Amino acid sequence: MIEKPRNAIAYFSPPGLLPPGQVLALNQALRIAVLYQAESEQPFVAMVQFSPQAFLLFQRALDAFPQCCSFEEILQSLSPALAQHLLQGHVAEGSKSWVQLMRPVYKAARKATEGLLSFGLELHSVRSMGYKIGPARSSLSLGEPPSLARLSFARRGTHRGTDER
Amino acid sequence: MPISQEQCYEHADTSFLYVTLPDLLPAGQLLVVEPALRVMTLFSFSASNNPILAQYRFPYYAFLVLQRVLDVHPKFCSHWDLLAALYPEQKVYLSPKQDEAAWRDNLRPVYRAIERMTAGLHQFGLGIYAIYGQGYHLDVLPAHNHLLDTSPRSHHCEARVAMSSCFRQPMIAAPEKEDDKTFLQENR
Repeated sequence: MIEKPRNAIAYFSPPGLLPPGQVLALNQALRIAVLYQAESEQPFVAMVQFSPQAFLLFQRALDAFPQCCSFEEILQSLSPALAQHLLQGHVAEGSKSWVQLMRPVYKAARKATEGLLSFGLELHSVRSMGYKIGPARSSLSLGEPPSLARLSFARRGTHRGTDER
Repeated sequence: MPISQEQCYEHADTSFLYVTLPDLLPAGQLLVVEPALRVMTLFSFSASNNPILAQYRFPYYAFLVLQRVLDVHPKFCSHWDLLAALYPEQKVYLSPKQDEAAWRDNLRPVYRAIERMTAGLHQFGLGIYAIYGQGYHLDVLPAHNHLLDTSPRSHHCEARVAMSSCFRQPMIAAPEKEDDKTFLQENR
C-alpha cells in the first residue's frame, strides 16, 4: 500500500479510502499533497498545501488507516516535549489540563480538515481515542474547492469532538 | 490567466494547466502547473510507481515570468513581455535608445525574477537562456540532453539545443530609427 518515498514524495493508495485508480502523493519538503488518477490524460484531481502541523497529522492518519490514529501519537509528532509530559502520567485523560495539552492536535486537525475536503476526505474524531481519516460524508465533488458553508460545518464538527472531552 | 497557447496548453476543468512541451520533454512526460499555489510538477505516465519526477513551488514574481516564458514557447520571450508580466497594470516603457545602464536598471526586476525562476527550472531539466538585448528562451539543460536522446524526436531536440546556442548571439537587429511606441507594440 505504501511505497518507499523517492524525491521525498510518498505515495498512498489505500483501498477503501480513495476511489480505484486514484493515488495520493505527499511531498514532504513542500508539504504538498496531490491526488491524481494515473490513467487519465489530465491526471491531477486536486492539490493542497498544508501547514506543517496539519501535514504531519495527515501523514500520521494515512499511516494508521484504516485504524484510528491516537491523540498521543499525533502529539508525539507535533510536539515531543508535550507528549513526554503526557506520557509521564501527570495529566488525567479528559481533564481540563489534558484538553489544554491537546490543543495543538485540535488545531492541526482543524487545519487539515480544510485541505482534506478537496480530496473528498475527512478526519473523524473518535471519542477518547484520536482521529481516523475517511471519505467525506457529504457528496462534495473532488477537485472542487470546499464551500464556506462546508468548511464551517467541518470546523464545527472538529470543535464538537473537542468539546465532548 | 494570460496563458493561451493552443499547442502547449490544455485548460482542465480544475485549475490545473497541462503543458506538454514536446520539443523539450521526453515522450510521456508533461508539466502540470497549479497557478494558485504557484507549483509546477513534472509528471510521467510511464513511471507508474513514481510518476511525480519533480515538483517545485516558485516565488511569486518568478512564477509570473515563468508563465509568460511558457506561454510564448517555442518563441523567445522579449524583455517587454517579461516586464509586462511583472507589472500588468503599469505602462511598460523601454526605449531602445536608452543607454545600457538605464536599460539594465529598468530590467532589474526581470533579472531578479529570472534568477529565482532558474533554480526551480533546473529541477525539471530545463534552463532559461538569455538572448543578448532581446529576451529569454526556454530550453533543455545540456546535462539533460541524454534523457531526450531516447525519444523518437531526439534529432529535433538536438537541433533545438544547437539553435539555442545560436540564440545567445543577437539574432534580431534592434531597430534604431523606429518610433519607440511602435517598437514596443511590435514586440509585445
